[in-house]
Amino acid sequence: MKRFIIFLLTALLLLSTAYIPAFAAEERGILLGEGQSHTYIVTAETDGEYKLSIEYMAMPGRQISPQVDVTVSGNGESFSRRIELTRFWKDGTTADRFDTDVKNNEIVPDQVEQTLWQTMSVGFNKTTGGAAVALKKGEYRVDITVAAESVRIDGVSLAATSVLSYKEYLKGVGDSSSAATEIFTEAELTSGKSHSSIIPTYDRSNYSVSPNFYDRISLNIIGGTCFSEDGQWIEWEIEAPESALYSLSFRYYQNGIRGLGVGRSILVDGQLPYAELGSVLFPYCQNFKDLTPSDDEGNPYLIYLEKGVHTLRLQVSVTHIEAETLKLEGLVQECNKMYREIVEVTGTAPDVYRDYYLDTEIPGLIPFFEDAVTRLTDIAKAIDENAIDDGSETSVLYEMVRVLEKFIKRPDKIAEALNDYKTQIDSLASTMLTLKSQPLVLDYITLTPENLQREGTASNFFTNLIFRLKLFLHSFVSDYGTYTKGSKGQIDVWVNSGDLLSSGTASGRDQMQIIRRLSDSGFTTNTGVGIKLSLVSAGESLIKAILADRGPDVALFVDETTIANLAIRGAIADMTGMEGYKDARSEYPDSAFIAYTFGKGVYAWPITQNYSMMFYRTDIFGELGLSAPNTWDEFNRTIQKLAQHNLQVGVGAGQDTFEMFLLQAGGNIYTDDLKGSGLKEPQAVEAFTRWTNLFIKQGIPLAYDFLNRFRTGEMPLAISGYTTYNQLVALAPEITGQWEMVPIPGTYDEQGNLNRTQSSNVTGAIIVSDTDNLEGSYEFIKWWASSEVQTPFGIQSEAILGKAARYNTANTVAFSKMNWTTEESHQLLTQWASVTDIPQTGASYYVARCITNAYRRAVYDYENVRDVIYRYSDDIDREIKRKLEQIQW
Amino acid sequence: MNKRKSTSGFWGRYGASYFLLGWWLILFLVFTVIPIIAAVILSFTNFDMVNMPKFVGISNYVTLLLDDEIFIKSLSNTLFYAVVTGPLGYIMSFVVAWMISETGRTVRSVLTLIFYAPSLAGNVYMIWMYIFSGDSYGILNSVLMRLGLITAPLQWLTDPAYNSYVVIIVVLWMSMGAGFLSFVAGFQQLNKELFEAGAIDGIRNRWQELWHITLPQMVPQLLIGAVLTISSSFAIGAQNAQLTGNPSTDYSTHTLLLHMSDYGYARFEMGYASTIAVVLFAIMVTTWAVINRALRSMSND
Amino acid sequence: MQNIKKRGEMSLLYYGGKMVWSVLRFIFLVEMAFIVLYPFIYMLSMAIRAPEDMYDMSIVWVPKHFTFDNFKTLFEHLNYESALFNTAIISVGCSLLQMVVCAMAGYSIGRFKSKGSGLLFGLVILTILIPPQLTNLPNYILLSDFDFFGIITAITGSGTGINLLDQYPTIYLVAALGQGIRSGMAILIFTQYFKGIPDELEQAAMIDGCGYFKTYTRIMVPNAGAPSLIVFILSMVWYWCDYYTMVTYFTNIRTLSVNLSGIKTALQTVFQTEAYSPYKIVTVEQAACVLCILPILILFLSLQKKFVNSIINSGLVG
Repeated sequence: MKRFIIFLLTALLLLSTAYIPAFAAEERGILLGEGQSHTYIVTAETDGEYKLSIEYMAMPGRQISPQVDVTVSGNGESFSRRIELTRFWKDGTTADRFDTDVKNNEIVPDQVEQTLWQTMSVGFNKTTGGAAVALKKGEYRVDITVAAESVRIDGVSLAATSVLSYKEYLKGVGDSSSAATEIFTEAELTSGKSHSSIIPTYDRSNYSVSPNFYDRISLNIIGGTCFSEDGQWIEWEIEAPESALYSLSFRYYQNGIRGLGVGRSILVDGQLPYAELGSVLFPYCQNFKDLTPSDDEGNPYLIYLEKGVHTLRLQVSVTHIEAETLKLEGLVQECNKMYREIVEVTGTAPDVYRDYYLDTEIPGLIPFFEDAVTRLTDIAKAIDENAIDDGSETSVLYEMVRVLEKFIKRPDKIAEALNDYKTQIDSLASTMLTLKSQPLVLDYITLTPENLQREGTASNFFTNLIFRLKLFLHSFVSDYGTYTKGSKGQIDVWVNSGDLLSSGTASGRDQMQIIRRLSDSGFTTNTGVGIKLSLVSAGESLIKAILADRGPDVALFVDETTIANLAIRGAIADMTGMEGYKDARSEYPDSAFIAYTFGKGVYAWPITQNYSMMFYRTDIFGELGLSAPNTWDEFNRTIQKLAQHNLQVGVGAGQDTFEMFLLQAGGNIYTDDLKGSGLKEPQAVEAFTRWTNLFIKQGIPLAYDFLNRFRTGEMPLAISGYTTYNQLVALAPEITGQWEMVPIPGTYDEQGNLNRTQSSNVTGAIIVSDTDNLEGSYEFIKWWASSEVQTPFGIQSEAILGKAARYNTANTVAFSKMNWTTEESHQLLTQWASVTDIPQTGASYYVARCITNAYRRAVYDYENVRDVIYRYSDDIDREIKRKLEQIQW
Repeated sequence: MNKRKSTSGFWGRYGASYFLLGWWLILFLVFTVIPIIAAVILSFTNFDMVNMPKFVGISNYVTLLLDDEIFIKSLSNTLFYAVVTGPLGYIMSFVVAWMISETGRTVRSVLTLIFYAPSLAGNVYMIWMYIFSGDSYGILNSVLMRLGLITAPLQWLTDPAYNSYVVIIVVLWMSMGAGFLSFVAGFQQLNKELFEAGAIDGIRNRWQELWHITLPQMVPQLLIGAVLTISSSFAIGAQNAQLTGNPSTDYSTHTLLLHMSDYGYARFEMGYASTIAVVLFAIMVTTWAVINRALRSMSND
Repeated sequence: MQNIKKRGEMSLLYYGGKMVWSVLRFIFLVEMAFIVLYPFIYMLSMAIRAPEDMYDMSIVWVPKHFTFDNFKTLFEHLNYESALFNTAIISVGCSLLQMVVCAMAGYSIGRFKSKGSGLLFGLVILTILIPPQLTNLPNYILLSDFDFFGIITAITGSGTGINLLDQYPTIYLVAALGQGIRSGMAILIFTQYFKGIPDELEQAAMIDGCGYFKTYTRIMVPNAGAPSLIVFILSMVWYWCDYYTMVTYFTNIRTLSVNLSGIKTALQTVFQTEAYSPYKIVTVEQAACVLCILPILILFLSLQKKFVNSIINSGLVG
C-alpha cells in the first residue's frame, strides 16, 4: 500500500513537471515595467533600409498604450525615437450588432482589452519619423526603455523593408479562379482596434449611410477624429467564400484635409500585400463617397484571398506627409525661438515709433528668415505636388512666406508687425497639427471579385429628403430624457451641462449617454430603481424648478454656490444619512467636502475637484539658467529675471489665486465661526498685497491666452488649473518634452515645512429634500460616487471627448486609474495632498464680488491696498450680518 | 325684413365690447395684475424662495430707501441711461429719420433697413464683446495699440471708468426701433402745403421749419415713441449683464432691473426684490404720466 | 418789384445752401450707417470664412476661403434646424394670434366710450411698462402647476394641477388670450387705428342690419390691413428675438435665441472632439448669429414698403 502511494505521488510529480514547460512557454519574453530597460543586439545583413521589428505583448494597466524609448546605436551612428506599442481592443457586445437600450437605440459598447502578442515594424529615427532608416551592414545595439505602462518583449530584430510591387505580387498570385459573390462588411462591426477611443457612432444626416432608421439610432459609422493619429488601426474579419482576386471599395467620408487627402495602409492578415497599398489616399469629400484604391490608369488594385476567414486592417499612414510635418515642427520651434529673441529686444508690445535695429541687434535674424522662406517654399511645393485635390493647406505657408519676405526687405517694420509674426507662427503650428491628423469616417467595406461589376450606391435626393422629414417628425414624438423602468420606482436625475472653463468639466449629451449605459447595467439591475436622465443648464433653472416643486430627485455636476444656497435653506438633503456613508467617503479626500459641510451635515457629494498647478518651459528655463521656483519669493525673482528678457508670467486674476496666498499665510476668508469676515486680519492684508502686487508691480498681464503664449514661449511660466495639462498635450505637440507640470510655489512655515496649500473648486451631486424616493436617491449617490462607476465614467468620457477633456474626478481611487503617467500622477498627487477648500456661507456670492471689486480698485485705480481691503471687508461683514438675520448657517 | 339688433340698454350697447374684451381681461388679471399684487405683497416679506415668506412689515422699504447704497447707484445708473438713451436715442431717431426723409425713395428704404437692423437683431450683441474685449486681441484694443495711442490693453468691459460708456454705445445702437420707424413714416406723410405756406410766411431756415411745422404734426408719434423709449430704457439690464458681467465692477453698470434680479435670483431675497420692483414700477408710471401730460399739452398748441 | 428781387436772391442762397446741406447730410448718414452696420458686416464676414482665414492679417472683410462649413456645423452638431423650426412655428403662430386678438381688444377700447374705457386704456399702457422680469417668476410657478381655480384638480382628481410648461400649446394659449409678448403695444396700435375710423362707417353698417360682431368682421377687419401688418411684423420680431419668455416657458424646446446664449459652451463640447482651434468657435458662433437674424431681416426687407405705408395709414401718425 505504501509503495503504491509513493508510486502515485512520484507519477503525479513527474506529470506535473510536464506542464511546466507549457507554463513557461506562456511566459514568453521579458517583462519590462515603467522605467525598466533592456538591451538587444541586432544585425543588419547588408547595407540597406531597415525598420525595427518588435514582438511584444502589452500588459493590462491603464488605457494608454505602452510607450517605449528606443535607441539604436552602432557603426558610429545613433538614432532614437519614442514608439507607441498599441494594445488590442475589441467591442464588448453580446448582440449581433450592438446592444440596445429600452427604445431600441444601439448603445456604444464597452471596449475590452485582449492581451495577446503583436508585432510592430516601425522607424526609429526621430527626425524621419516612421520611415525606414538607412543602415550599413553590421551589428547594432538596441536599448529599449519603457516610458509608460508595461510590456513583455520577446524579440527585437531589424527588418529590411522590401515589399513587393504590385506587378510582382500579381505574378506571384498567378491565375485566379473567378468568384461570384461580393464580400460586404459594415465598418462599425470591427474585430479589433488599436485604441479604446475608436468607437462606433452614428450619422443620421443621410439616408444612404448604412444602416439608417428614422425611429431609432443605429451605430452606422466608425472613425472621425478618434481614428486620425499615426499608428492607429482598425481590423475587420472577412470571410472569402471562394479563393479569388478581389478589389476593395471603401465607403467613406473625409472632411479634414483638403489638398492632400488622408492616408491609410491596407494590411491583409497582418501583412502588407504590396507597396502600393502602403499609402492609399482618401480625398476630401463633403458627402459619403466610394473609394476603390486603383493605379494611375484607374485599374483597381486587387488582392488575393484564399477561401476562408481573413483579417483586413486599415492603419493610419502619414508617410505621404510625414517628412513635411516633421520639417514644419522644427521650423515652428525655431520661429518661436526667434520670436523670443526679438521679444527680448522689443518687448511683447513694441513701440511702433521706435526703430529697434533688429537686424543688427540679432545678427542671425535676416539669414534665419531667408532660410525659413526657402524651407517653407520647399515644404509648400512638396505638399502641392502631392496634392490630389485643390487644397488650402499651403495657403498658410505662403502667407508666412509673404510676411517673412516683408521682414527681410524692411527689417524696421518687424517691430510693428510683431503681432502678425506671432499670429503666423500660431497658424503655422495649427496647420501642422491639422496636417498630422488624418481623420477618416467609414461606413462599410466591399470586396468585389475581379470579374464582377461593382454597383455604386447613389444617394437619391428624394429618398434622403423623405428620410430627413421622417426623422424630424419623429423627433417630436421621442422623449428628450432617457429612462429605464425599474421595479422599485424611478428617480429623476438631472445632469448639469456645465461650462468647461469654470468647473473644468464639460458635461453634455455624450456624458449623459455614458451615465445611461452605466446605470442601466449597474444600478437599475441591482437595485430595481429606474433612472430618468435629463440634461439641463443649472443655476436658475434648477432653483426655479425646485421652487416650483418640479425639481429632480438628484442633480449632478452642480456648482458650489448653488449648493451652498440650497443647503442653508434646507432645500437639499444631508448625505450623512446615507447607509455606508463612511465607506463611501473614504474614497475621497476630506478637502472635497469642506464646501458642502454646514454644521454637522454634509449636503452634497463631490464629483470633480479642480486645482492649480504650475507649468513652465524647461527648454527656456534651461537656456536662461533658471529653475522652477519653489517659494513665492523665488517666483517673484523669476518673474524679474524673465522680464529682463521681456518674457511674461501668467497668474490668474481670480479669487483662487488670492486664496492661495491667503491660505498659505494661515488666514481664511471667514472667521472661524463663519460669522464674520476674516479679511481684516494681517495675514489677509498681506496676502491681498502680495496678490495685487503681482499685477501692479510685477506687471503680470491681466488677461491672456495661456495656450498660445506658452507655445510661443513668450510666457514660459504660468499657474493654471491642472486640466490645462491636457489641452497642452493635445494642442501643442511641437513642444512635447519641453515643459513640465509641477506643484505651485509654497511658503515656508515656522517648522520649516513648505506649505503649498491652495483652495479648490468642486462640483457635486445633490439630493433634493422633498424627493419621494430618498432611499433610492441615496443608493444612486452611493453607486455613482464609488470608484467602480467613476473609473469607467472618466475613461469613457476621455475616449469620447478626447484627451483634452480628461476627467478631473475627486475620487482618489478612480484618479489613480485615469490615463496619467506615473510621473504626472506623482506631481498631481503631491499637490493634491495640500489642497483644501474655503467653506461656503450664505454670503459667499457677496464675498466673490467684493474680492473682485477690491482687486479691480487696487489694480486699475491704484488705490491704497490696505484701505481697499478694509473697506470691502467691512462690506462683507455687513452683508453677513444681514444674511444671518434671514437665515442661519 | 332685416332684424334690428337692439342697440339700447346697457348690454346692447356695451355687451359686444365686453365680450370682445373679455378674453383679454381675464388673463390680464391672471398674468399681469396678480403678479403685481403678488409683488406688492411679497415686498412686505422676506422670501427666500424655498421656505414660506415671513412677514416683516415695511422694513424692506426702509432699507431700500435709506440704507441701500447699491440701490442709489443703480437708480442713478438707470436714470443716467434712461436720460441718455431715452431722449438722446429719441432725438437721434428723429434726426436720422428727418435726414432720411429727404433722400430718394430707394435710398430711403435701404437706409431705413440699415438703421432698424440692430433692433431686429436683438440678442446679437456678442460682436460688441469681441470689439471691446479686454486682452490685446480685442479689436478696439488692437487698433488703438497699433496706432500707438495706448501701450497696454484697456479693460473696456471691466473697468468702471469705461464700461458705462461702452454700454451706452451699445444701447444707443440698439435703440432705433419701432419709434424710429414711426418717425420715418410720419415724415413721409407730412403735409407739403404747410411747408410752402411756411416759406411764404417768412420761415428762413430749417430750424424754424422744424420747430413750427414739422414737430406739431408729429405729436402722436412722439407720444408712442416716448412710451416705447421709457419702457425700454428703464428695462435696460440684459445687455449690461452680458457685456460687463453680472454684477459689473463696483456696480458701475448696474440698473434697477439688474438690482432686482440680483436680489431675486442670486441672493435669494425675493421679498426685497419685489420691493425694488414696486419702486421701479412706480417710477415708470410716474414718468410716463408726466410725459403724457407734457406731450398732450404740446399737441394742443 | 422788390419782392420779386428778394425772392430771386433767396432762391440762389437757398438752393446753394440746400446743396451743401444735402452733401453734409449724406456724409453724416453714411457714417452713421457704417457705424450701425459695422457689427453686422463683421458678423457676416466671420460667418462665411474658413477658420484658417482668421489668422490671415490681410483679410479685413472679404475672406479668401469662402465656406458654408460653419453653418453646416450648426445644423449637424448643434441641432439648429429644430431650433429654427421651433422659433418659426412659435413666432408665426403667436404673431397671428396676437394680431387677431389684439385687434379685438383694440377695437373695443377704441370705439366704445363706455365708462371703463379710459381705465382700460391705462391698464394697457401698464402692461407695456411692466418689465417681463417682474412677472416671470410668478408666471413660471403658475404655469408649472396650473389649476384654474380648482376646476382642473376637480376634473383629474390628481391633487396637483397640470404642468403647462415646455409645450407648444401654452405659449399659443397665452398669446391667444392677449398676454403675449408686448401685447399691450399691439393693442395700442389697434386702438389708435380704430379711433381714427369715422363713425359713419359703423352707423351705415348698423343701419344695414349688422350687429356688433358682424360690423367687426365684415367692415372693420378688412379695413384694418395696415395695423394688422404692423402688429404682425413687430410681433414676429419680438417673438423671434425673445430670450426671456422662451426660457421661462421652455426647457427642452429650444428656440434660436436660447441656443445662441449657450452656444459658447456647446461649441466647446463639440470641438473637444475635433482639432480644436479657438478661432473655429468664433466663426461658428457668428454663423449662429447670422442664422438668428437672417430670416427676420428677409421678412422685413420683403415687406418693408408695405410696412411703412401701413404705418402712415394706420392712424398712428396724424
